[in-house]
Amino acid sequence: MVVNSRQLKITLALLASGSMVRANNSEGIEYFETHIRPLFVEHCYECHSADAKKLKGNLYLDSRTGWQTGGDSGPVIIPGKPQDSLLFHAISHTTGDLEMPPKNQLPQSEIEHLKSWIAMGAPDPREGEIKKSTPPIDLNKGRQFWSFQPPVTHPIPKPRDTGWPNNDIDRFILARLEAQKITPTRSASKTSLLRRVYFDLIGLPPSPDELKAFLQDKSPQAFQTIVANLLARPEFGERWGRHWLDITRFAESSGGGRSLVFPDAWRFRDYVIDSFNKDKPYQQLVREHLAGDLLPHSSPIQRNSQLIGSGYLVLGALNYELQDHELLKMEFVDEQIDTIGRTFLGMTLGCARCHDHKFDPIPTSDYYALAGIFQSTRSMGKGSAASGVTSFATTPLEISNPTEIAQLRSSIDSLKKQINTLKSSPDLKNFPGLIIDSNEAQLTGNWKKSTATKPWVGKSYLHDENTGKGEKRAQFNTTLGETRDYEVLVAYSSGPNRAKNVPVTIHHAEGKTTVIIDQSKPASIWETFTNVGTFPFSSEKPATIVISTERTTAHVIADAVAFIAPNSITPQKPKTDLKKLESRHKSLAAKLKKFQPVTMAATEAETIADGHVHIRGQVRNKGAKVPRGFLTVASQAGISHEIPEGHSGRLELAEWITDPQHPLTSRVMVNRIWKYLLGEGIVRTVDNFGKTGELPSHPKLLDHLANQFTKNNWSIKSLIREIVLSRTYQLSSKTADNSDPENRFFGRAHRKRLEAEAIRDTALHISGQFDPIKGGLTIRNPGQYDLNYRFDSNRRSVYVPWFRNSMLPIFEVFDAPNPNLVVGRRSTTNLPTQALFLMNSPFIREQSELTAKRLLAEAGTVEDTYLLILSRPPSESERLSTQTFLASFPPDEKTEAWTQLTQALFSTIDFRFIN
Amino acid sequence: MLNRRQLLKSSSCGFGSLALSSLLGQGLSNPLSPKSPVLPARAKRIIFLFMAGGPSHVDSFDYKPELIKRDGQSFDFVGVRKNTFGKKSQRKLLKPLWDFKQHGESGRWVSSLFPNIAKHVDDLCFIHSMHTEGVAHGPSTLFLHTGATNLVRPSMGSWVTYGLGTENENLPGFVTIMPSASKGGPRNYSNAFLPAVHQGTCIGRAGLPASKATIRNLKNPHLPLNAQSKQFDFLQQLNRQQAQTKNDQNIDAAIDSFDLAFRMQMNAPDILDLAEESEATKSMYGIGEKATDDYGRQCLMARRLAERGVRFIQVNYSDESVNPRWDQHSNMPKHKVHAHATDQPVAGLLKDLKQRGLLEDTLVWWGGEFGRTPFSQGKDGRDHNPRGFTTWLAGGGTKPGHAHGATDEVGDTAVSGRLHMHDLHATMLHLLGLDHEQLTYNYAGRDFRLTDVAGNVENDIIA
Repeated sequence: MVVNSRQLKITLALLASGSMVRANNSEGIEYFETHIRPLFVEHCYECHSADAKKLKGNLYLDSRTGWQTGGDSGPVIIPGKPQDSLLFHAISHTTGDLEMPPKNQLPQSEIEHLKSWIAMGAPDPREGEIKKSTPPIDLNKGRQFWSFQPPVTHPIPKPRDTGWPNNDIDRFILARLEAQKITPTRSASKTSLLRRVYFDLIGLPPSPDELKAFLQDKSPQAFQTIVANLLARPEFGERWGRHWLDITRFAESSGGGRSLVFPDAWRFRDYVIDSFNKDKPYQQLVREHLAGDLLPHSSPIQRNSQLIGSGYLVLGALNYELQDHELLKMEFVDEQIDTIGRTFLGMTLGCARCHDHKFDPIPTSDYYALAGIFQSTRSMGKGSAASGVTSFATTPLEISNPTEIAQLRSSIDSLKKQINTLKSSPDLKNFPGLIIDSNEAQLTGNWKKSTATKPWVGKSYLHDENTGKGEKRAQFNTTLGETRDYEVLVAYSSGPNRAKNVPVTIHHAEGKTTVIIDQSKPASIWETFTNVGTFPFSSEKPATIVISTERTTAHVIADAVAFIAPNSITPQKPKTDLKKLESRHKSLAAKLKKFQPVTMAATEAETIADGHVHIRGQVRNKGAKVPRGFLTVASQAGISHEIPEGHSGRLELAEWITDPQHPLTSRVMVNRIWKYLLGEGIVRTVDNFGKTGELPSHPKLLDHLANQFTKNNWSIKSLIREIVLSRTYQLSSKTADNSDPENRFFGRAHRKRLEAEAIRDTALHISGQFDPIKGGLTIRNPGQYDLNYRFDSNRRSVYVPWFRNSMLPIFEVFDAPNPNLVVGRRSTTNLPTQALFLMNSPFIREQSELTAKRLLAEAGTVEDTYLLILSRPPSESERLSTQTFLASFPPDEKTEAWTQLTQALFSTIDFRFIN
Repeated sequence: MLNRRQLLKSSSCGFGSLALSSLLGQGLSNPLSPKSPVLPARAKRIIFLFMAGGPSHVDSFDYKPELIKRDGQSFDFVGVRKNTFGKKSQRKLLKPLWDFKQHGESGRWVSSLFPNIAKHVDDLCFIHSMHTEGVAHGPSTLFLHTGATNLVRPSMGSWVTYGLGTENENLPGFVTIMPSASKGGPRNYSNAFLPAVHQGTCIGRAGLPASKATIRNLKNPHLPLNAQSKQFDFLQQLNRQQAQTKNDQNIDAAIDSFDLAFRMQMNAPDILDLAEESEATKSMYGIGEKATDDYGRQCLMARRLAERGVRFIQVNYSDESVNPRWDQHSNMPKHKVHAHATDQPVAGLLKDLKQRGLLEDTLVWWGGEFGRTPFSQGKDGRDHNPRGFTTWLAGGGTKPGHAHGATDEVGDTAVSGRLHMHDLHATMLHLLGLDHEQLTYNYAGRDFRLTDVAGNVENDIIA
């Protein structure tokens, strides 16, 4: 807002009259009744009284106790001290954060009344108590909730039908089915089962040959062999890695306004795929995600892998463009806490940012205990000062041939040193004249010392912070020994944000002269000084140079002035040495960058400290300090994970989360795996194990699986094998028993949808277009933003660039997860856009045509076509319909006929569903 | 050969009996069937004319004589950007580059930037006291659309179809015409965590000519319609055979979605095809003139979609660059180019809606993500200004010829009748008959709404 002198005078006048009112009690009460009560009633009670429809900020202004106790931000009036009273700042709109009333500022006169009233001690006759606020969260009661109780070992049930179960999983399932009087359906056909297990484990269909071999293998181990083979295939990691990427909200750009490309995010993707293929214990995976940079390591390769794993913390969706940096930092922390809560704990922690969690026993203090950990973590880079856009955090990786790098680094360091010396301190020992440095200058107004931009004279230079224009001056005084002409030089460090019209006034023997200099251009003499002219000086009169900020609109620098004999120094071009050194430095740095890969990773912050509660989630409204820590409700009494001095607490957080006794971690993960294989979770809300989530359908089975999981060294592959070999997994999706329409008891298989990736990968495989190259950077010429990226890859879908603001259309259309969110359960829609894609998109048409040509070239039959696309032969009626359809084309349109057939099969429900 | 309409009638797919409810797989009720609003509704739909980049209010609709008088004088202004956040610095005022005049019976001030829109001031309701969140384009653009600068939230259009459904089952309820991929891109029309059916459907995209704008995959580039119809019948025959023994709602829904897609393929191209409009109508929108052809076509498309019951139609005036169209950090005179490209089309739309009686229940919303500063940036530019700017509304139950609120004497900060973007959202939902505090969606254990925990309905702009 513009403040002009007229307004200033009015404000001063009001101040004077206000201070004349004295805090005489009856006089004070009268003042309250005349000016303050009506003001409160009219402007404040709507939101801040017992009668408010919706109380705002927990603040009552309808009693004295109300404002004394205050709301979320504490007491709002400090009697006698308007300047210390939040209420006064809020109504005078001085803070920018909190402005009351929210819509219109009160008239100046009313603001002054309030100020006077506070100044006289805020006399207020309104007695009485305020309503009690909502009771605090009862953590002991909260711990009773099932998901906060550690998993228990339950005896294996003994169902009546002892022949049915393959393993313990089946015993839990069957016992429950029997209790519910549900008859499990028959086993799936070998054909259906093979397609199912192929898609579930590797995300691709069996080839017709693999199907044939399986159908011919009559041994009882036939299916076990298939499962063992699939678990060992590299495609397993690609399939299950993709699941994990959904849950870790992986993407290769930032999202937000300018969606910054993360050119090194692929390392995290490859690391995840590799971790699943190597069956890395889940406990270790979690540790690496939270504290990979802090874990011990025995080789550079291990160090790198762990570091890449910690990329989890910094790969989130964030608007790096937010200009309020304090807010941006807190948004980052919030994203991390919310994501960690959902990924590992199935908890919605974000809710506790602004208030105690409304449903789950998570007080705000727990949230800020976690926040302290991530405020003590470096998660962002510096970014560009010019655009105000912050950058993402990267860390150099260890490399295998360190000698060359070390040499390179040391030559770069020494170059940098030489450049700095040349730049920062012009060698003034032999300077042929008198220099007066800024520390001797006589200053008017605030000047700030700085060493941000080289070079400067002495220890630092001064700048005006681009404020207080006109009122700031720097005056350099001296008396020169001789009466004669001197050349006057002014030193400044140049830069693009410097003023172009800085007035320099020279008080010399014959009066004063003002010269305008342009500080945005480099100085010409010793790269430090600019010549402002030659003037006569007298030894009798002081020689004074004044640098002023009058009429400037950018930064003004005052560094030093100098007096020299005219023409004793000639302006030079920039030192050639320096230019040479700089160019050498640039090329070596580029070389190092090539040798020196980086990865997105979190590291410990420079300052490690506990954080404050931010009242109502507002960054500048700080409440009590909270010691760093974890969720109280999920922590067992007696077991503590202390955070040592100087640690952010991430390592300890990782230990806490991966404690085998943690009530949530193992349960949440086994439930996710169950969901991917069986189609629904035991807890169907896989990302929400809190009060608003669903209860487990089989709590004992869930505990059993969780205990087995931790006992088996958190092996994901073992758990998958166990589930897939159960009879429950191998059931048909058809049933005659309609007593469990939602299939809550797993008496049959849930029909699952093929995901976008599986549709695309299968089509590319069948058409022969599939590009088998795995891993590495797959973004073509990574630019700064993901905007309008042209996708042209035929690689497996998991390797297609995965951006937040720009996605391959088939992914978008077929419910690929929103990479801004943790998604443990993708939505499955039946929108017409999917049908339009299958019917009309060039992609499906192209794959269909290539498949048709391939079939025709190999003299394929209708049966071959069905085996290739649906992994089963056609039914009699399908064979008939298909033959009729093909026969309707003239003989010279055979390719077209088979193209249309192939395309139709890609669109059928038996292709799009896993039965 | 059959034409599309005959095919539609004769095809064996049973369009008439088709219920959209079976299409969506998750539950029985159709999330898009028209719903009665909870409050008395003044508007049935919104046309949002999005002026990307931040048009300058002090050069267009917010007349500030003091700014003209004090041209060139310097004052302290509080910085909002990363490096100057909260600090005051001296800035030099720059007077408007265009002359202002009063127009209409209401006497509203409009500069010579918008001579055609100026003719409609008696239908417009100006809000001169807008303020918003964010300073850079990305955050502010996201805030304008979703009510959040950083967190992932559904777009306003998604909330509207979520609240009201659609009046035309053959068309999407929320469309965005030629959106930009920049400044948040798809997030600006994303359903976020709302069901996918509420996602905005794109017609064309920024940077391509409007004459080519269409919905993706709406046409088969290889097959004539009768050939495709044969293939389609074959497919549905297979599908029904495969579904026979399965008895699964999800499967039925997938099959039905093909019928709906085929119907869309028949219907939608007609709506996007402007050929049946008269030459007079086209020229009213500026179609055929080089400068106004694109935005004119977009506006006319918007009217056709509005007529057919689409709930939320966004008409983007945007491009793909880092500095969006209205973003004149330097060279303010370039505002003239953008004003010229949009003035006639917008005026044409207002006139057309009015003469068809559509303005009654269509809420037209014109505005950018923020305004521009009254002080200069460089020689002849203006910086972003989220503290105060102008937006105008028309029709849909707003007060015609009205001006609400004001910025300070030079147009820097909204000072009276301040209306936050959350308040504008709340008020527009109110005009549609939706209570912004009741229009919630439970996601991950919490009820979310467009206005977060804020927003007040502003009755002063409601007729």
